[in-house]
Formats: sequence, structure tokens, C-alpha cells
Amino acid sequence: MDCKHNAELLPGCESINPLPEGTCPVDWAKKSVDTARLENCGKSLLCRDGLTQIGLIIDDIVSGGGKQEDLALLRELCDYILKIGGCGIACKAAENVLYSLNCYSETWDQHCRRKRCEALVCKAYYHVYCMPEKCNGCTACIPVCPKQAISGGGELTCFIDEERCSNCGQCIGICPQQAIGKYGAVKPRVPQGPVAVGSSAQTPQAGNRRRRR
Amino acid sequence: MSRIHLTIDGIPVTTAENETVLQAALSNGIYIPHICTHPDLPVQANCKLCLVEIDGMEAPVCSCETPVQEGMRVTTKSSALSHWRNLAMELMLAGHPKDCTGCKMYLKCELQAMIQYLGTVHSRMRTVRKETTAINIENPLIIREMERCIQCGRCVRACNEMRKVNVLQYKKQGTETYIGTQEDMPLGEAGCRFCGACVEVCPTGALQDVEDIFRTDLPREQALVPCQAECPAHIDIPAYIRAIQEGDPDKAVGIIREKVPFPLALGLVCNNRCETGCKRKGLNDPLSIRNLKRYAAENDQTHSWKEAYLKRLPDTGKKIAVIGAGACGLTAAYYLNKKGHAVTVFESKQIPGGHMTSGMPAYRISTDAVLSEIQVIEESGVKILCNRHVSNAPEVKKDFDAVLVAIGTSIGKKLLYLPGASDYPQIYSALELLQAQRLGKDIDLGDTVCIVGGGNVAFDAAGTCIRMGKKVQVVCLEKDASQASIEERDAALEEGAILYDSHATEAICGNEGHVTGLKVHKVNGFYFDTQTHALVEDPIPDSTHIISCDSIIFAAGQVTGLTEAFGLQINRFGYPINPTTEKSEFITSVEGVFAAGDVITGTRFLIDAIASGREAASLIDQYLGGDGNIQEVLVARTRDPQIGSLERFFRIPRNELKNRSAQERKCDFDASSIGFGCTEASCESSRCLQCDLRKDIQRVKVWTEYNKKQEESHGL
Repeated sequence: MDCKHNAELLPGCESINPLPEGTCPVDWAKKSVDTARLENCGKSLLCRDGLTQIGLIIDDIVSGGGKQEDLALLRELCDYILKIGGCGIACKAAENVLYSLNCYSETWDQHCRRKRCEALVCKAYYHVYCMPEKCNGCTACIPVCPKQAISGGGELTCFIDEERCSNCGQCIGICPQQAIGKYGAVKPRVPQGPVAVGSSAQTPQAGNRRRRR
Repeated sequence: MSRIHLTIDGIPVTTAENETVLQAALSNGIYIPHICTHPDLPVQANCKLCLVEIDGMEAPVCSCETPVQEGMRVTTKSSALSHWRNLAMELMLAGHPKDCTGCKMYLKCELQAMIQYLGTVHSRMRTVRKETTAINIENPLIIREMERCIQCGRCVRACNEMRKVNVLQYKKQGTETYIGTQEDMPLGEAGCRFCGACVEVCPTGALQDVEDIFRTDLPREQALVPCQAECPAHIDIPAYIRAIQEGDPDKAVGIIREKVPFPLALGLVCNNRCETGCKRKGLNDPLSIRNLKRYAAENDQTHSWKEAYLKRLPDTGKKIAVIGAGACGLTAAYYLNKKGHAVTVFESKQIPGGHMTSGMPAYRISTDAVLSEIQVIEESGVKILCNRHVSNAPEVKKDFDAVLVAIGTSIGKKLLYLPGASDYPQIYSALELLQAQRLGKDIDLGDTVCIVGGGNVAFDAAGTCIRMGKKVQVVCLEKDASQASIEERDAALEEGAILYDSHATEAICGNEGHVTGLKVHKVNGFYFDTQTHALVEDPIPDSTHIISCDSIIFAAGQVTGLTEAFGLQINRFGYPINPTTEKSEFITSVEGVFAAGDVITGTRFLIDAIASGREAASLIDQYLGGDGNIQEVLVARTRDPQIGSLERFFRIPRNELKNRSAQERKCDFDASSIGFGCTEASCESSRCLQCDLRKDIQRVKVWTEYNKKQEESHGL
């Protein structure tokens, strides 16, 4: 294994400036780091243990365990890798994390403090739900759910049990009606279980908003 | 080579041009923390602790990979550097167990020393839990506690660069890095030579030796080579095994002769305590060290060691008498002669060699073999006078500057308390039998012999009687004659000896001046009373019977036979005592008269007698004004640390000696076993783990060992 060649596996931050619509900068940084952790040769402390720490910290940030001081520690570690000279792929990952931290500091802050991901990418910060007004009860989603979290079908709309749902999102892609979506901080008004198909009016999402947490 | 001048922390330093900044600093007593760097391994620069600032360079650099340059100005201590170093330590410790006290390397750990030096506390980092620590943990000889591993890669470099064994490598499982083997095979299967280099260079407790393979009561340098540590004469065993592996038995003999003058005799009859220490026993079986020694001695063609061996220091004008030409006396005589003293050896029998030529059976050690080795001692200048019985030591001292009493234990004990033991002439000690046979004296044994005793000597006597055409019965108290070596017992039983184990003797029966039998009974067990040391039996009722025989041989130990008439103070067992305040076992009650070997220790083994002779020689040389140094190097050593890998190395089985068939060997006194040939010797020597290579690996000095000035400035 030679890290130098592996550096090409990562997108550089310059090439995708700004990040495309719908991308979560935290998740994007995490992906960079995860790839670098997989592909570096592991011989140097910087690439091996440095990237591992960065990875673990970002893992915490995207899963609800991030603290404000983690952001400073992340910067410190990235600086360290860049200054002391990690291998190619570690440096590129560190650059990407720093780029994301610098250009999207508000997003990082939201992840850490308010436990939110506005792009609805980070799994810990969104829920998957079925929109009863769109669902026709075709049940295409039921067999793909690995957690058996979806009920309904036939005369009834589908309903996703949030307690069981793991936010894998497989049902979202499979639904022919595009009736399954995500929500973040604002929970849409939906029935507490399956209802008769067609019984729900085309209510706009802006209904009675309720803050979560 | 030109010298480079640079300053480190303002201190002017001069160094060789191909050195690194780290080497320059360390060799000048300036400590720079480092952990992945080892003086015997190529640089890897992965721990990032040895960072320094160099004037004109923007970022700090690893001093271990930065070559020195003329005029370079290096700073090793600054707040920025200390920040980076602490960050590196925090990263290293994130995956390392927090509790040091439970680790076997506690207080011997380089990482722990580094934590102390840098004052790092684990705090800010996420704890790293490794999934790979359970891989490859079942190995012989090497304990792998990989949760302690900081992946500095020293072991990988030791295995690959230093040893060229190429077993250890950096591996990845998902995002996790670990040190493993190809396909995660166990070390042995992967081709490990178990040289221990990886353990030696590991700065943490991740790689450890299995407990109990190295003695802890010896200095580490000695303990690292267990065979040599166990040998009473400390023969350089790995070195001569290497010489055999190189196909050079002459060189091997030279190495053996640096410590003992009887390589062949030892190769034949040594009780091989070295093999009990052999580290290879942790893999399969220990090396057949004694038989390799015998191979070397039997195949030593050119005697290339001889010229150096016969060198002697200039005459000192001192005269020494050695009483007794056994292994101990002759060993002492050889070394004392070498130190320039004139040595005369007095031997009461017609040939020299002591037990080697008259107390052991000829089929185990031939007279020719011993005499050829004694001849070399005579060639070196020692005078041996046979048939010269010395009855009083102080008398001899009058004509000599020093006297060494090395008469051994030459009198076989008989159990005279047995009823009938003094009544018949056909009652002998084993030593009387062996001496009679070897020195060609008549002995009246009749047709059937009863041997009383269960040690090795009993079976020596049995084998001898069988070869004399007698019917042999061995009677002993121990179940299965457990005091004797299994080898010797089984050999005698194969040759037709009948064993009466768990039998106690009651009386010797006889008729008209002839022994007719031995009255015995069976026992369940026995022990020696802790207070009186008396034998306590647990007899089986009604088991008394008579074993008929024409003669009795007692193999019940030997004594010195010394009396006050010899002129030395002795204890009630007949051993000379040291009444002076000087703490030496070799000193006797008469000034200038020393004693060594079995005569002071009681009957032991050949190698003990030789070791005792060496020590006594050194002491006597000092007594006569010499330096007492009898160390010698006859053969220059070369140790190639790059041992390479050897397929299925850990499985190579032990080669054993072949014995002639019992039917064949019981008919004559020729050697009963056949020594290794070239193929067996080469195969057997290839099994050696070469423990001595590990002594060549330098120990890493920790920060406290650098000079005081630096220690103080560290506090800033």
C-alpha cells in the first residue's frame, strides 16, 4: 500500500467549491475522512491515529454526540496533519475537513449544538415518514424495509414506525408515488397509523408546526 | 571523513557527516524524545515525537530523518514543539490501555517513560477500541497483547530488515491498522524463527516473552541465552551450533574448548542441563545439544584451534601439584599451566581420567576418547604422573607453591548395615565393578548378579555385567527406578536386565562363604523422615522373598574415603572443610592447599567437575599472584543477524541418537550409540533459535540516562 497514489481517491475541496446543493458539509467531510482512513497505509501516526481521531470526532458530531469544543480539536488535528506532513491522502482529507469547517461553520455549529442537519443527510438528525396524501397503498416499500417498520397496504396508506425505522432510506427510492420523505427539526402533521387511502386532504406541509426537542 | 558543526539548543556540536540530527543530539547527551526510532533499525519517522525546529525551515521536522548540515541551528525545546509532541502522545495513548500497573512491562516500558518525560495525560481524544487485537494471539514463546501496541513498527522493521524473516507486516482491516502476518497465520505457520527480535525492540508491553523461559536470577545478558546460562561451564552453545550449521566442526570444537578441555567426553556422557534451558522446548523439543557436541568432537579433523589452545603465558616460576587426574584436576591443571605455572598431576591409578576412564562403562565413553583429550593437556605442558598415590596433602605442599586436591569420590558405598553384608567376598560396590572391568582386574561375580540401587550408576553396573555375560537383576526402592535417566534405564532393560522396583532389601543370604541370594520385600512407598533423615518404608505384608544370585553390587553412592591421615580437616562425611573466614568452597584447612570437584561437592556430573576445576584454577592463580582470568577466545565469532525465514521451521523434529540393537551391543564394550552423521547434525543445528543474536540488539536509553544538564532544561 502506498498512500501517495491513494490521494487521488479523494475529491479536492477546490474542485467542488461550493459543495453541490443537498450536500451536508459535515457528511462530506466525514466521507473524505472515512475514505482516507480506509486507504492510507497506516504506517504513520498522523495518517493512522490522526485520521482515526478526526473520524471518531466527526462520527460523534453526526450522531448527536458532538460538543462545541470538538470543532477546535478537529482544527488542531487537521492543522497538525498538514503542518507536520502526513501522507498525501491524509493531507487531502485534512484539507477537506478544514475547508468544510471554514466555509460551513454554521452547519457544523448546528450539528454540534442544535443537533440538526438541514440537508437531511445525517441520519441522526432526520426521520423518514410516509405522506398519506400521496400514498396509494401499493406496498412496494414494505418488503425493502430491513426493520419491518412499515405497516399498511391494500385499502390503507403505508405508515412508518419511527421507533423501528433505522433511517436507511431504502423505501424512499422505491416508492413509485414519491410518497416517502424525510423531515428534520419540524415534524409534519401525519396520522398516527395507516389511514384509508385518499382520506387525507392535500394539506400543505406548513400546518401546525411543532418543534422537536 | 569530514566533521559537521552545528548547534543544538545553542550548544555547539560536532558530528560525522552521515548522521541525522537525532543521532547528533543523542550522541552529545542532548535528549530528543523518540519512540519509533531504534539504534539498530532503519528510520521510519512515524511517531512524530522527535520533531525539532531548524532555523530557516518553516515547519518542524522529524530529527530522525533529517541529516545534519554544516552550520545548522537546531531547537529541540519550544512551546510549539512541546504542543505537537503532546498531541502525538495523546493520539498514541487514545488506543492504549490506561492502566499501566497491570502490564508486565510496568516500569520497563519506553512508552511509560515517555509519558513521564512529556507529562502527557490522556484527556481530549476519543478512546479508540481496536477490533483486531484478538487476531493471532495464540503463539508459542511470544505473547501478543496487541491492545498495547502503538504501531511504531519497530517489530516489523526488526523482522524484515534486521532478520530478513519477513513475517510481521502492517495490515489493515477496514479502517484499522494492525501488526500481523500474511493471511493472519499464526507466527509459526508464517515462517517465524522465534528469534525474539520483535520482542526485544518493542517499546511497550505489546510483545512479550512467555514467562519462565529466561531466568530472572541472572543478569539479562546471561539469561537471554538459556542453554549457556544453564551450563555450569557456560559454554557458548549457540556459537558452536552455528559453526556446525556452517559445516565447520573444528571451529565448533574450538568454541567448546574455550570453556572445557573435554569436548568429546562431554559429548558422550554429559547430563545435558543445557537442554533443559533450551528455548526451543517451547516450540517442540529442545535441541539435541549434547549430541551436536559429540558430532563436532568426533568430526574435528584439522584441530584448527590447537595453536591458540596450546599458547601459554611466560613461566611464573611457581609450582603446583594437582592430586587426582580426573576431569576436575586435569581442567584445573590445564588452565594453571596456561597461566604460566608448572603443574604436576599425581594419579594413583595406572591411567589418568578418573571416572571417565574407570568409573563409567566403556560402552558409554571409551578410554581412547578420553586419553586423546588428556594428551592435548599434556601437550600444553602439564606433567601427569600415574601410579603415584598421595597419602598426605601437606606433605606434598612442602615441595610446591600450591596444591589442589581433586581426588573426587572414589570409594563406592556398601550398605554394611544389611545382615550378611560383611560376610561374603562377592559383595562389591558399583565402582569396584566398573574399575575392575575398565582396568582389567579380575572380579568374581558368578553367573547371576544382584544390583542394589536405582540411580544411573546402578544401570551402568547392569550394562557392564550384562556385557560380561552375567544374568542381571536390579533391585531398587523407587517405583520404575525413577532416580535414573529413562534413557539409561531402558537401555539396560532392553539388554536383558530384570528390574525389581519398589523392593526393599532385608538381608544378604549366603552359604559356605558364597552369596546365594538377596532377601527382599515389596513396598507401597517410602519417604525420608524430615527430622532424622531415616528411611521410612510402607511394606507390603507377606511379600518377603529371596532373589537368588551369586554376587551383590551396591550402587548406593560414593564417598571421598578421606581420613585425618590426609592432613586436612574433614567433616564427619569425609569432605574437607574450610575453617577460615574466607568465603570460598575451594579453601581447606592448610594454607596453599585447595580442593575442588566431587571431593568438596559430593558425586556430581562431569560438567560440574570441569566447572569446579575452572573456578579453582582461577582462585589458585590469584593466590599465586596472577589475575585469575582464565577466559579465552580461540575462535573469532561471526553472527549474521539476517537469519531469513525457514519454512516450517517450528516443526522440524528433534534428532535422536541411534543405538545399536540390544542384541548386538550387549555382546561387547564398544560404543552402544552411533553419533550423528553430517545430515543429522546439519538438520539438528538448523533447529537452533539462535538466542544469542538478541544480545546484539542495543537497548534504547531512556531520557533519564541522558546528562543532567538536559534534564534540568527540560523543566523549562
